[in-house]
Amino acid sequence: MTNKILIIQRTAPYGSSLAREGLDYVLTSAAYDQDISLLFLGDGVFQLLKNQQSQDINLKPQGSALEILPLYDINKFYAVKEDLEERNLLEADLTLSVKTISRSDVSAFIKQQEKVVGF
Amino acid sequence: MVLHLIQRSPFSSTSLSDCLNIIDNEDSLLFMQDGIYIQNHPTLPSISNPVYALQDDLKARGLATNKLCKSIDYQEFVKLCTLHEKVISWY
Repeated sequence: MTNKILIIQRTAPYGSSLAREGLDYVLTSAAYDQDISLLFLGDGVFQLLKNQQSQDINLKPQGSALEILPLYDINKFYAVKEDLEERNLLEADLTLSVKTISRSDVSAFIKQQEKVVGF
Repeated sequence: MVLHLIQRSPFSSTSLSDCLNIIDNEDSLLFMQDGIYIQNHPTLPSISNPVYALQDDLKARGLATNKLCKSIDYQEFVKLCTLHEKVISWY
């Protein structure tokens, strides 16, 4: 059974394991052929930064892990417009091409989903 | 119609503010674990959605019930979940 699942990534990478756990959830769901969208919200937008080189802190780079998702047929990436602006991030700073969505449209977007999981 | 579970203190985490940024009028908020410190936070009176707090978590932390935030037990928690289309955790 295919479900329309939204994963909300709202934590910065490396400071906690949540960002990585969200990614594991995404990859596992992809293996079960689910219809996945990812929404980067709050500090979660920091996961999208280019040039993350986390090898010296002994953690796998989140950015490169996100880049491979299209190989698993995951192509629906969204980020909250105001959260990017608040953190002074431009589209050119991001490693994936994301659709921006304004805060006021997020609840309608959530309504379109069958399942929502936050990390 | 979403039930949002806020599980971190609003004084040290952005769980609540991230949620309030995108919340819909029809949604409800349930504060649990360290989220219940909302009762001591200045944003509580400005929240227009229905707000609930988990009784056991209040009791454990020595907080009294607050008239702005209905305290509920686990049975009522389960019932609230069934009354909403989705449940989203914020931690």
